[in-house]
Amino acid sequence: MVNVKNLSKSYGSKKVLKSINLELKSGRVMGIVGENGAGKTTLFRCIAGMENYDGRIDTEATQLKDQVGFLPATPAFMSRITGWEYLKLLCVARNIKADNFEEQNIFELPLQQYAATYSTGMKKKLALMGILLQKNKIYILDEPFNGVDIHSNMIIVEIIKKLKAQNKIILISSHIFSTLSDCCDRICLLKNGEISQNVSREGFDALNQKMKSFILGDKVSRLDI
Amino acid sequence: MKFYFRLQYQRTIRYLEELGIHPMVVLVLTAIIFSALSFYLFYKTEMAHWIYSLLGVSFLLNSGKQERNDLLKSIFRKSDYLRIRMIENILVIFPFCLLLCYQNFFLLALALLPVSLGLVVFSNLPKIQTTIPTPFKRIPFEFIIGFRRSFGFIILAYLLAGKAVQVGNYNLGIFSLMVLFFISMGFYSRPEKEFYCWIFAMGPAAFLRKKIKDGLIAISMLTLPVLITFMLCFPDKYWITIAVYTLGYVYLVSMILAKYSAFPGELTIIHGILYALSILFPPMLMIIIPIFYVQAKRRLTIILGW
Repeated sequence: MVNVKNLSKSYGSKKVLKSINLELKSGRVMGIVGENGAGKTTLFRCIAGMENYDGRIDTEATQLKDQVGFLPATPAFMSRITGWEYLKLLCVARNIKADNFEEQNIFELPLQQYAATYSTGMKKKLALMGILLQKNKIYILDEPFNGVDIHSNMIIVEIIKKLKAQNKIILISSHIFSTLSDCCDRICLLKNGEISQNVSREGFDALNQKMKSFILGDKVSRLDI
Repeated sequence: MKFYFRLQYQRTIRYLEELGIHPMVVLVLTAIIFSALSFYLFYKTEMAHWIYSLLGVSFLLNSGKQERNDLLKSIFRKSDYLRIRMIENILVIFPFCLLLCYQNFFLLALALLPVSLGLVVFSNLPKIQTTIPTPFKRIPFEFIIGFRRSFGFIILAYLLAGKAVQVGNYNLGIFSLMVLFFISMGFYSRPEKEFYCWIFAMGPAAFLRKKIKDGLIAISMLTLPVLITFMLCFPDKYWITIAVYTLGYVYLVSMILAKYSAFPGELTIIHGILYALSILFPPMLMIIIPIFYVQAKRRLTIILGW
């Protein structure tokens, strides 16, 4: 279990996250929704140990960071390394002896090509494959469905379900509510750096409706079209 | 186009100001160091003019990276883009031409100008998507990337070593070995993205040990064939060969530590000055290596979370 208590983060005078409280349980999938700039990525980076923060993150793990598989919203790849070599690096970093990547290449990626030349979707799939090979206990997936084709989206949903069945802790963000409601046990709405809603499956429809009316409002009708 | 160059000038000034050094100091220091190293090279070897020209071309290649070219192409019209890149290349190659002229290599200096312009056109040709095979596949990642990036120069260094054996020129041979070490040190000159350090499940000391171990294994794979050849072909000078080789190892270790002492930032001018001094006076390494090590450990503690 990972317990996030009163987590706050500021960049200079700008408060990006304000006293966030979250309980991430094994075998549960937590979804985070929110507008651009709401603080989702910053929250993920704090939990992954990539940013300093105020507050506490309690966990049974001795080194939380070393058990986290983090999929960034836009994975960055070094030039001139192939997909295979990228996967090898991620395994080496966690002392995992593996190089039968072709066998596990479920997304059929051209692993012998330079990763930096992949399309947006292929990059995301390669990065996801990398953290899966690491066999982490916690998965933080920032917009895993963005830029990925519909077939791969379905595969990713199934992967999340499998991870859940293996008692892993999963935290996902997405702009697509329907994919989140498919695989999450709880969804939090992050607004201006604060969690304004934290609902279980029963409350998903209500949250979706609330988000729609809040996001849309009279915005479209104001357009002269 | 004028605005573009003004912007580049402002970027450079801002970068230097962020480092806390007056731009004028950097300008004067760069001119002095560049001239001093150039004269030293011409004093040291008869092949200096070739090496010097290659060095100039390598700077040109470095300034013509694809990402940068793509950005320029997306902003400017094709004719403006070509003009910008040509002006940039001439500015880069000009100091080299000037010194070559001073050393009476007028033809070579003259030849570098069309080469610098030709490289602009060459960088515009459609790229063939090929993956250069590397022997470092299982030792990610500095040598994998560096080997592919400097493939041509590595081949040239090997050819130079071969030529040295063929004509029995030991100095040329040692020079080729030094070139291989310098190229390899260059693999560590730029920091990777923080993520690629963050993923490691180990403490700073273990991380540095692993990086050094991997680096030494990889450099051995690259240079051992040359070392063995020289030991066989120049047996009377084996102790110089071993000394240069060992020093190469030490410089590589210092470079790895230097990189992480500034991580996730880039190496600073201070690093450059310390290196220049340690090349002139190698015992300096005994001072800078422990300093870099302590700084690197401090930097990595934050990123690795230990």
